[in-house]
Amino acid sequence: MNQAVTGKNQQKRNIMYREALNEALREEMRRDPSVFVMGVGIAERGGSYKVTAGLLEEFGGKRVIDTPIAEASFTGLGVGAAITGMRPVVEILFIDFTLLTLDQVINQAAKYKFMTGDTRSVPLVLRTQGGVGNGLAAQHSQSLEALFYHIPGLKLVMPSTPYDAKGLLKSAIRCDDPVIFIEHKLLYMNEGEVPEDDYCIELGKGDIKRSGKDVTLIAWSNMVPRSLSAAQKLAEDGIDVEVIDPRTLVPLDKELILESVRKTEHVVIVQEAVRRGGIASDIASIIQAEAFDYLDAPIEIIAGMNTPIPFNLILESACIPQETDIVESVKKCM
Amino acid sequence: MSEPIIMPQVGQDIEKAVILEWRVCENDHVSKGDILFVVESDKAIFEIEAETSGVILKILFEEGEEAKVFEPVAYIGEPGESIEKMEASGDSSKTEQSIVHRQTVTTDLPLELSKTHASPSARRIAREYDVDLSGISGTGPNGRICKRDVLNMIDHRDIPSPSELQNTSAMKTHSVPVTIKEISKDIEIQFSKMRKATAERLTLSKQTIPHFYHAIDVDMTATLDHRKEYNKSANSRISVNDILVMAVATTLNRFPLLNAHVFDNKISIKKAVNIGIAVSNDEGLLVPVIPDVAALGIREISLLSHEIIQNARQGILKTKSPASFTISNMSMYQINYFIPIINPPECAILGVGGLQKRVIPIGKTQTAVRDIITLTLACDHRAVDGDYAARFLKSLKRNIEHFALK
Amino acid sequence: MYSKEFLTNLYRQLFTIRIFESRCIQLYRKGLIRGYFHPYLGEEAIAVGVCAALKKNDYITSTHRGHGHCIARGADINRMVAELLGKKTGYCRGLGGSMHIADHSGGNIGANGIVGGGIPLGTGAALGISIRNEDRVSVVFTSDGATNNGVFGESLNLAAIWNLPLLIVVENNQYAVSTPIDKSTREPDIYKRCIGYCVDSSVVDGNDVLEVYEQAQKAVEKCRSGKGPILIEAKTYRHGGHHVNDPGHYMPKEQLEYYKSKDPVVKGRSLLLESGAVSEKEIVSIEETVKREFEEAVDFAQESPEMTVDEFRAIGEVY
Repeated sequence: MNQAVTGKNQQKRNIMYREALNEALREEMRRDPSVFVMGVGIAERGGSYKVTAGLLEEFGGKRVIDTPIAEASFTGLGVGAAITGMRPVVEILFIDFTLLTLDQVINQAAKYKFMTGDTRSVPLVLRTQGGVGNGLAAQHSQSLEALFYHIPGLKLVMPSTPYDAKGLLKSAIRCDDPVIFIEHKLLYMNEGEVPEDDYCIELGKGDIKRSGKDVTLIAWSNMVPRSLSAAQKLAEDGIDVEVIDPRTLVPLDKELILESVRKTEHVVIVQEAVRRGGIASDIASIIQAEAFDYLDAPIEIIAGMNTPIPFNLILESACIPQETDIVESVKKCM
Repeated sequence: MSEPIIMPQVGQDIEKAVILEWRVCENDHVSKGDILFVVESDKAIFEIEAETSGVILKILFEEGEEAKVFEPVAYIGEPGESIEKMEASGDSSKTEQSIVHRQTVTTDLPLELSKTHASPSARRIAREYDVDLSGISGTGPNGRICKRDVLNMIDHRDIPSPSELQNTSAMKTHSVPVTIKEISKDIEIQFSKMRKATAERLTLSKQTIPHFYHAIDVDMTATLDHRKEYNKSANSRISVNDILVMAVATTLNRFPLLNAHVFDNKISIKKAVNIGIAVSNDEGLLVPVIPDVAALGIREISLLSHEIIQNARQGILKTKSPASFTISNMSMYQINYFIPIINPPECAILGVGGLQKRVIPIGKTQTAVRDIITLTLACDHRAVDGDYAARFLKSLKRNIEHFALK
Repeated sequence: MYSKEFLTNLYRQLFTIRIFESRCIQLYRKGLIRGYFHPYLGEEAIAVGVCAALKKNDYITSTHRGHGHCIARGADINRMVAELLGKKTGYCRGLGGSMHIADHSGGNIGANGIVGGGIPLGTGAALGISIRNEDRVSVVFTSDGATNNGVFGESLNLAAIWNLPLLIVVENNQYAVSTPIDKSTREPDIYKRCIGYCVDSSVVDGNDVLEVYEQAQKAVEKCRSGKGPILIEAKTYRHGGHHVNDPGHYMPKEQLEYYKSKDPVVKGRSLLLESGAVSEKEIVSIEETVKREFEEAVDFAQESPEMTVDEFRAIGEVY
C-alpha cells in the first residue's frame, strides 16, 4: 500500500513516530543547507516531544534555533526567511498556540505567492501538534485543522504512522508552498515500520490502511489507529471495513476516497475535531456531490462534541470518538 | 439478579400501549405464569404473565399510563435487591457513548410511510434496470430501500401487467398514422410507458455496454429437411425458432459467461437458462421468457414459445423469470443479417437473419444451392472477449447443423 | 561632498514618487484605478534617503503606503502603473494591486495590507542572511501606527538577541489612520523604545533626504559589521488623509501648512540647486523626462491585457 517509496533497498525496522520525524528533519538538513528549524525549546532541550533531539549538536545554533515565546513573530520570521531563500521548519509547541500566529500564517504565508502574481514561493513548514492528550484541558487539546483547511494557499498534512510522518515531513520540507504539518501528541511514542533508506511521500496521496468491501471508514491522525481497531472488531461481525487515511487534507486525495465509496457504497467519517464546521463535513459534501448515486446509506460522521475539551479524563474521552462509537456508527449505516 | 419487565409488543405496528391494571404490587412474590398486568392496545386487551418467579421490586408506571413497547415497566428480582444498584452496575461506557452520539448525524427519525425512501445507490440501480421502487420493501436502516433490495427485485423481477400497459395506451395523444398523407400537419406522439421503457433500456444498453459482434453462416438445409420429416411423423409444429432456442440452450451449457447478467463490475452467471425472445408490438419491444430451457424437450419449448410470443404481441407478459440470454429472430423477413442490441443486464444477444438460398462451393469444383441463415452475436465486451464468443458461435453452428429431433 | 550624479538621482527619485502619486490619484478619480490607494505624498525623502544607502542585493519590506519604497528601489514605473490598473503586465499580474506590490528584482519583498505584518517578514529576511552568513542588510519600513502592534516589539527583540542585520525605519507620520500619535502612545519619540531592547536607535528629520541618507548610511554600515539591529525614527507628515478618499479633516491646518512648507521634494530640489552641480534648466529637463515616462507608463498599462478568468481559474485552482 505504501507505494511512494523511492529508496533503493527496502530494509525496514520499527521506530517511533517522533524518531521518524527526527530522521526526516536530520536527513533534509543534511541534504539542503537552507533548511533550518526554530521554535520554543527545540534546540537545547530537543523539543517537548524530543522530535528535534540531537539536531543542535549536528547542525549548530545557527540552524537549530531556540526562540523566545513570541509565536507571531518567530513564525513571521520563518515566512520572511522562506520568501528570501530559506526552507524554515517552524515548530509551534501546541496547535492551540498557532492561534497567535494566524496573521503571519494566513495573511502573509498563505497569500504571499498569490499576491505576488502567483510567482514567488514560500517554502515554510509549520510543525505543530494537536488533539487530546490525557487531561491537558481546553487550551492544550484542540484539533484545529479545519482552520487551516479553510485557508487557500496552505497545504495541510496530518500523518498517522511513523512511516507516513517521515515521508510526508520530507516532502513538506521540499514543498514550495507553506505546509501546516500537524502531529498528534498521542502518536509520538507509536512504533511502526520505517525503511532505512531515503523516501518521500507525495503530498496529496492518501493511503488505504486496510482494504475492505463493505464500508469506507475515513480517518486521519490519531483516529486512524482507533478506526483500524474498530475495523478489527467489525470484521468479527462479518463487516469488511476499508480504512482510508487521506494523510494530507490539502491537497485531498479525492479520487482515492471516491473510488472506495463507489466500491463500498457506505461511508463513515471519523474526526477528532468538533463536528461543527469540520473537515468531515466537507469530505461528506464532496462525496455526496461526486458519488451520490453510489451511496447506499447516509454518510455517518462521528466527531468530537461541539465543546472545549474538559480536564476530567472521563469527560475528556466522552468528547472524542472512541472505538465503540466507531463500531456502532458503522453498524448503524449497514 | 434483578430484571426489567418490559412492555411487550402487542401489535405489529404499535409504539405504545396503556397499562390498564396492575394485578401485583411492589414487594409481591410472583411465580412464573402469574398475571402481572393488563395492557390495552388500540385493538385488544392482553394479560401479561410473569416470565420468571421473584419479587416485584419496583413498578414504574401507574395504571392508565402509556408505556413504550420494549421499555421496562417494572423490575423483578430477589427480595431486597435494589434496582439503583443494578443500574449503577451497568456499563459505564454507556454514558460516554450517549454523549458522543449526540454529535453524530442522526438517521433515527422514522421515515414517512407515504414516500418511497431509497438510497441513491438503490435509485441508480432501479433507474438502470427500470425497477419501480414503490413495490419494494426496504431492509436498510429505518426500512430504507437499499441496493441489495433492488438487486433482489431484479432477480425476481415482476413484469408490468397488461392492464398497466393498456392504461398507458389510453393516454396517447395521437395514434401513429398509417400514411403521412393522412395527417394535415406535423404531429407529436408522446412515448407510451412501454415505448419509454424500451427507449431507456436500449439507450442504457447502447451507451453503457461496449458491444462487439460476430456473425456466422449456418447451413440449415439438412436441419430443415429433418424438421419437415419430424413434424409430419409426430404431427407437431416445431419451428426453426424452436430449434434455435434449444440449440442455443444446449450450447450455452458450455459457455456459462454468456448465460449471465453483467452489472457493477460483476458478472452473475445464471444457473437457469432462461431464453428471452424479442417480440415487438406497436408500443415497443417486449422480451417474453422461456424459463429453464435446459430442462425442456423440443415440444414443450415449442408450445411455451408459441404461447408467450402470442401473449407478448398483445402486450401480455406472464413469465416472471428474467431472461439470461435473448434471441431476436428476423428470419420471417428477408433480412440477410442485422446487429442486435443487448437487453441489459444480459451479457449477449443472438440476432437471427432470414433464410436465404445461396450457392455454396462443394469441394474444389462443384457448387450446390443451400439454405443459409446468418447468425449475429452481440456480446458485452466488459464481460467476455472475442475468442470466447467465436467459440460459442462455432459450437452453436455445429449444434444447429447436426440438430437431432427425437 | 556628494557627486552631481548622486544628488541628481536623489532628486529624480523624489520627483518620480511625487509625480507617480499625484498623477495616479488623478487616474483613481477617473476610475482607472480602483480599491485602496494610500499615497506616499510628503514622505518621499524617507524611502529615497534610506534606499540610497542600500546595495542592489539588500532587502526591504514595505507598508500599505508602499509606492515610494518600490520606486526608490528602482522599480519599473510601467509595471507599477499596470499593477495599479489591475493588468497582467503588472508586478503581481493584477492579483496584488497597490497594497501588495512586490519587486524581487529590487529586493522589495513587498508592500503589506496588514499594519505591522511586514515587520516579521523583513526580520525573517535578516535571519536568512544571518544563517547564510551573507553581506546583506534587510530594511523594514514601518510606521508609528505599527509600533503599537505586538509583532513590533517581538521582532525587535528577536533581531536583538540574534544580532540580525536589520534596519527598522519607523516613518512617524504622526497618524495611525486617523488617530494622532499622542492618543496612541504616551511617548511620541518611538526611537526611545529601543533602550529597553538594547538596540541602537536615532531620530531624523524625515523630510530632509540627505539627513535621512546619512543616518541610514551609518545604520547600514553597523548592520553589515554585525552590530545590528538598528532603528531609525523619521519624523514626517502626510500631505493628505489616510487614503485618497480620506479628506483628513482631523489633521490641523497649521500643522499641515507647516509640513508642506518643509516639502521633502522642494527641499530635495533646492539641495540639488544649491550644490551648484546642476542648473535650473537641467532640473526642468529631468522633471519633463519623469513626467513623460509616467505618461508612457499610463499608455503601457492601458494597452496591457488583463488576466482572463480562465487564466485565473487555472491559477486559483491549486490554492
